[in-house]
Amino acid sequence: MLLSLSSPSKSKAISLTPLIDVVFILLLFFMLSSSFNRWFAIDVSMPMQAKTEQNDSVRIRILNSQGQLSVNNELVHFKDEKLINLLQQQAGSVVLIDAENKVSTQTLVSLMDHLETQGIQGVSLGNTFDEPGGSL
Amino acid sequence: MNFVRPEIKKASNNEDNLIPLINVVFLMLIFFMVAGVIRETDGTHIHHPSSITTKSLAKEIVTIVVNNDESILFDDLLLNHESLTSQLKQMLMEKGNVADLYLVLRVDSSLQAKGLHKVLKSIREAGLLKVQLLTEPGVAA
Repeated sequence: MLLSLSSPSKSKAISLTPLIDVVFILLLFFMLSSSFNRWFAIDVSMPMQAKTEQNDSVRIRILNSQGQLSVNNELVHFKDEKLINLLQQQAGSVVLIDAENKVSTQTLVSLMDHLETQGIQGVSLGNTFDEPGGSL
Repeated sequence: MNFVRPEIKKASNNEDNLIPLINVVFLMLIFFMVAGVIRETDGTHIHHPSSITTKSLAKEIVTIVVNNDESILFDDLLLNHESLTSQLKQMLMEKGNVADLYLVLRVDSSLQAKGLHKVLKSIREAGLLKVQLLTEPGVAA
């Protein structure tokens, strides 16, 4: 019988191809499953009904998604300095944000951001209301 | 006919050529492993509101997803406002200690205030008062 076996003394180098396959699969997994946007959070404080009826609270009514507000029946835009001045006059009181039904969450978040950067404390979400003229 | 056997030396040369490729692939692998965050996908297409806040999420959280059509997703269940309250109450009963439990709302940025208010009302009815709104970094319009 003639068996042509390669001599066992000759050690064959391990092929790199399977290794590359595995590494590629790992790479694909991490590329597809990882996300790079970071998530942050805003604390939403929800006042009890009794608290919202307190007299020392300031109500900001958001009229539309463009950022038109009404504070103490005065019309202001939320980037106006007038708004901060109005709120600083009543420092220490609870600020309640009421929103028109169709106002977007982004507008609410932007206003809360703005108030926080201007150092206004004690901001809570109040109610929603329907304003026939108020639209997007 | 004269078959020429491939030389062993040549074969190893081929693999030597692959080494720079493997290096690059390894570097990419390490980059994605270290820099990326693996998150559970839930099939929702939500644009979170953008905000300049840098406050991080609470440690112990329960997540509720609210789409811009006011549909609510909690615990892989599609709920309405009434069933959300009862599901939350049930969850609180099972958990027991909820002193540090935060409820994180993943809300679409175009959700109308009315929808958000209804969800917040349901949460308050369930007895949860610690609520966070999830945001993404960015300059708000």
